[in-house]
Amino acid sequence: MCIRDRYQRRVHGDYLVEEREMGKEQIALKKLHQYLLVGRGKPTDKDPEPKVFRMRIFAPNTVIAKSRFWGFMRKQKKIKHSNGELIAIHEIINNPSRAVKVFGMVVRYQSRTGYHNMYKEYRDTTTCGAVSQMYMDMAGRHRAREETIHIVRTCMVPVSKIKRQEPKIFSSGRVKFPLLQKISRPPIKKYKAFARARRPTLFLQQMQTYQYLSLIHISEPTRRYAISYAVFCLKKKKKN
Amino acid sequence: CCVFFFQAEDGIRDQPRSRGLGDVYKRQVSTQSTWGYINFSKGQMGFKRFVEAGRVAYINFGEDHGKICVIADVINNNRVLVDGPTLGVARQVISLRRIALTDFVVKVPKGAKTRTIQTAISEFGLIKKWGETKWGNKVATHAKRSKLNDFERFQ
Repeated sequence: MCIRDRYQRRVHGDYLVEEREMGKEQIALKKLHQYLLVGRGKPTDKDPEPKVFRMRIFAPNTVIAKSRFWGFMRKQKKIKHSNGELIAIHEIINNPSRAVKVFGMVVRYQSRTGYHNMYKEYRDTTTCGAVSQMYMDMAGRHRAREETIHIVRTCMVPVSKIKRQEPKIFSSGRVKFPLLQKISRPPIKKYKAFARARRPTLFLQQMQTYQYLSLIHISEPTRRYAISYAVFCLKKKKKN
Repeated sequence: CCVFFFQAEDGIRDQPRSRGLGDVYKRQVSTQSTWGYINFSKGQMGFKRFVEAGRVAYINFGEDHGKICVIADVINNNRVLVDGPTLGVARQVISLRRIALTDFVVKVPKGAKTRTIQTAISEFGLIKKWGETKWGNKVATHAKRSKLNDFERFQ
């Protein structure tokens, strides 16, 4: 459990993990790192030169990366941590924020009823950012927690080969949309008032949008069927 | 006498025929990225400020609050890649919830590099133009006021 106290320290259990200055904000997505792990079974008399295996793991730190590595080794190669040795662990560092790319990933996850494979695509500046998005997405759409997800393969997808709608739309052509929601809040956590004299404003509209809305748009926003413009001419009965 | 099984408003019993899985996915497409299908170019919907490559945005939350930057690229519905060379903003991914759009648009290609944006900003005269707007003035005054000491405030 991560508890954030007044002094912006993140305390994980009993251990002080990070101490941040007042006013510095956290990154919303989970910070993942990409590690390259190389390991093999311990050499025995029967097998003096065991085969070496290499794996890329996405994990928040090296401890979890190693743990996941041995988990996969155990399940796929029958080599346990006790009878194996980790030869090397390197972090694969990508330079962030230069350009936005699309990352495709094949994912195997366990649902409540079985295992499923998925191919997902995300737009991000780094592979780790895209993988973080994937975890959030899987949690939101399929209630799949991190433990049940295996990343089979990740790759960078060129624009012409993108399969999914949303990355395709945002990658090609001119993307242009208005910001409808105006969020009014203090710029840093430090300025957030504990007690306020006024009631809160629940939503703020960008004022400019009111100008060009016609009466039809304002008066019938929830109408399901197309608005009919038929005019009914009612003739008065002629009195004879 | 015969008894009718279906009553007048018995919606749950009168099951519709299965429309197959394809129908569900057809609906998903239209709800996922609606912005892709709306054409804002004609100005019909009355919006004037857009999230687009080159748009100058004001950061109103986070470490860089109070600064303006240029949107280099749109990542998705929620995040953009911004850059503010000479404006004091490092090239970074920022959430759309943390920015407010200004009236200015600097002419840069989608995904422009820092150097390109820097040239475009200086050619456009963004810092000067921003300082001349009411909004820019307010931000500058507020920043100045917060740094005054007692004597300066008296003056």
